[in-house]
Amino acid sequence: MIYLDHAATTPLDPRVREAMLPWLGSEDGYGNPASEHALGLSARRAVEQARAEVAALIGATAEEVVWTSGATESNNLAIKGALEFRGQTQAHIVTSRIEHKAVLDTCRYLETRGARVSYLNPDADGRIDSQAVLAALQPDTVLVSLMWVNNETGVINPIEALAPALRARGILFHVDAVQAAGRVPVDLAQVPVDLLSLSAHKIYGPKGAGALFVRKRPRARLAPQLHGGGHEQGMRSGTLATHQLVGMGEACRLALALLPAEAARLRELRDHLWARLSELPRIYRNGAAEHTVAPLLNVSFEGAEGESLRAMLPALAVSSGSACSSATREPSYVLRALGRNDELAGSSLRFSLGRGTRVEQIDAAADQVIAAVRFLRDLSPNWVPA
Amino acid sequence: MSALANVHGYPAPVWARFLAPDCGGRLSGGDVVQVEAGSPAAHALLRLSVKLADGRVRQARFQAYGCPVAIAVGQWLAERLQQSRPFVPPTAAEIRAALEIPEDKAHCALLGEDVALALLPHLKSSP
Amino acid sequence: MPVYLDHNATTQLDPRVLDAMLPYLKGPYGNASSLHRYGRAARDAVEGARAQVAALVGADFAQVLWTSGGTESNNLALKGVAAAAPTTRVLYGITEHPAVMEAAEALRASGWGVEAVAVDGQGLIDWPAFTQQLEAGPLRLVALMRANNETGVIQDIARAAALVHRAGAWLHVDAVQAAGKIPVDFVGLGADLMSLSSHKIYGPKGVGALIFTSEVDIEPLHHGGAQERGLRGGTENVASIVGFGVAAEIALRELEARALHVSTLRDRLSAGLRALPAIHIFGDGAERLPNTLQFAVSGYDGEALLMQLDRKGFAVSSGSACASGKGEPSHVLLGMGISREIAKGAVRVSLGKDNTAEDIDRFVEALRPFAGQRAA
Repeated sequence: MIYLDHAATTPLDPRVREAMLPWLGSEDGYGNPASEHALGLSARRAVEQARAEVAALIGATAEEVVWTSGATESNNLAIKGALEFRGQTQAHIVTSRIEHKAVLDTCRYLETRGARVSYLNPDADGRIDSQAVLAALQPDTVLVSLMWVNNETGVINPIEALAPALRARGILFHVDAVQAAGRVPVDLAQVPVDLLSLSAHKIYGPKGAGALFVRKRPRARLAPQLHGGGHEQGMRSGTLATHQLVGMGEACRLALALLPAEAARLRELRDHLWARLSELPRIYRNGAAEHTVAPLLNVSFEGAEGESLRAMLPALAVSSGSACSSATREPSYVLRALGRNDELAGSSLRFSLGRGTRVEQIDAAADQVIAAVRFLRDLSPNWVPA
Repeated sequence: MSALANVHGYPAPVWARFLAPDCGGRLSGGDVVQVEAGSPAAHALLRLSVKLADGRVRQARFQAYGCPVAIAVGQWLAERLQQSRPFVPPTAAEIRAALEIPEDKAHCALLGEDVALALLPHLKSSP
Repeated sequence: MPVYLDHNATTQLDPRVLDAMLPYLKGPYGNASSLHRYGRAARDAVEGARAQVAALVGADFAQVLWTSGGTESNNLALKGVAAAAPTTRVLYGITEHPAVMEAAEALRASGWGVEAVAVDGQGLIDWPAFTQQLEAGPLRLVALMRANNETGVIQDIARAAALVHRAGAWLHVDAVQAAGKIPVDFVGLGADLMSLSSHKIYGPKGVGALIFTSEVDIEPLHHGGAQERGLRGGTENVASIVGFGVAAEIALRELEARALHVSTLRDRLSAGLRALPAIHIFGDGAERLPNTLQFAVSGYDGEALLMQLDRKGFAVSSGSACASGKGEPSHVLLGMGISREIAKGAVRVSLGKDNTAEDIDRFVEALRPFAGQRAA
């Protein structure tokens, strides 16, 4: 199996696992970080050290990091928490059609409670244009929620340009940085984003751990979504899972240290994959190359129906835009928003490279895809060879 | 391609034909009839290309754009066209039974029924 | 190594649970929602764990929804039910865990009537008052705990369920502390919803479950994604879920032996404490969890006592780990009508499967000087 689905989830880095194990298996690593006795205090110190590592990855301070169970919770807490705190569940929100489901479903839920939401379309490059965001603002807009990097195309949104403009207008800016962290530099000391969601398992950390950055100055305030006990400065209650958070901290430390070298290495491999696939005529890259993160390549293959293409690639773990590729059974809404028709959206493959990816795997993957596409095109009644 | 694992669990008769569509292709010539059927729901298209002589099927080929089940239906029809004489168009239910097609892929069997029915007038017109 | 007497706060991961988790921290795995081969193996493991957790409380596996822990389960129960229903009333027991109490209180903001159910001096439901409350108007949900985390007092949930159902409402049962310590029967108790937590039963932290019948209408707390029937978005925490499943299976299998072990120790502790002067044991007239004993050294400040005991190598708490460090007396004890003065001295001992008689004897000895001090 060749694993090129790192945008979906990543294997746990062995160094992260080693950091986690003392908090799972050892005689003195099981204290509840909220307990006042020695076992509790040592767990709390480990959790706080991990919080500092998360903060360092994004240029924040430790007290700006709130632990969650993952990015879905982070996104829910950011959006619902911000509106509820302000008592403005009737207000206006700006987001885009290519957000993660956690953002879109939260916005749709808020619409049922009286909020109004503007869903922006990406431009031809797959980006959300800053001017389009500013143009969508209304007098009662309280929040803009956009992803830093899109999960399907890998396209980078102009967050750095947009953030100062929203700050100047006093509008809260929430950024889903799940796909950005560890893939592009994120420095919140420079970029005035108010709320930012992170996930551990996209950066070689454990599943079930995430964080929400909540800016202290100026202070972004949230109504808690999980009440009880008042953990995490009252913003998120619940016993902290020490091993999970220590794992996330170590994952962030590694991501920061490895980012420049890995980005360069993966960009080269990704470009090699695109060059190999380009042996095939009439394939289309989804998302502008110059705006795409290093590890990601999304391609539509004309003349190769998506489900059959996926069936032909059993030894290749990639995500596919075909209707059956996801539990939700919807053709890719991101690619449709980019202007691809249902067939091209369905015949897309997302290759997301990662820490374990080697050039031999890229070549083998290219061989398999090229053979499969040729096989299906040869059978197709519509395919006219050039 | 025959070494590929059927990891998505397609029915065995479907998977075998999907991997080895021996009858894939298109025939040409004055004695060749082409018929097509499409299924918008499945974004699928199935074309049969049949060489006739004395009202009999001499050779049959298919082309398909669609999921593995749609491709297998094309292969199965082409096999049957070359074997059964005279050709009796199969119903969707017969196609489903023969290929063990599950409910959620029933539209692929309908596609097969449609294209077989489209062929029928051409067969009758040959004495 | 300290003597750990704080098992109601959290428990040490059972080595057998860790063994079950390790393959999912090492081996080929993926996003449980993905359809490729790794994803399917993860999904099988998640579904196996669902059956194990269901079995612990006699529920159907299809009724089990994964969460990040007891706090999320309780929040989802209260807020999820409220969000899916016309605005009426909810009731919660006055000695509930803060996750239930505060989630219920948060519903006031959206117009809900929120009322606490009173308890008597033993921590047991005040039945006449409760019956009156139930009849006082339209009602959607009542939240009561099976066993209290501080005192260990066990409520008669089956009796409450019959009354709640007669009032046309649903009953949510926080069984976080009861599960694995006493038999818990989701169906037999008449619960409509029930919260469970993994790390209280020698499983990993960061995973829990909400169990509910198909009759219950519920709105998600975390929107986004089709996981958990669309009711709880987010990539499954596979390793922890698998660990929770194995912890639940072991807890069910070893329940009787564990209960016998800790109740013997608890009785030994109780006898030891009673021999000391000025000790007040809370809820000792009620049926309690076999592992839990909460007491006060009369007049002595609990937080100061905990620090002394910690220095001597005993890990105990005043009550809920969540509330510790705040200096406020336990809302559970105040709810039972205990004076602030005595409540401030509360110390909770919660025993576990690995405690020994020697632990108990050493603890009682360590306590003796403090109790003697006051009495002198």
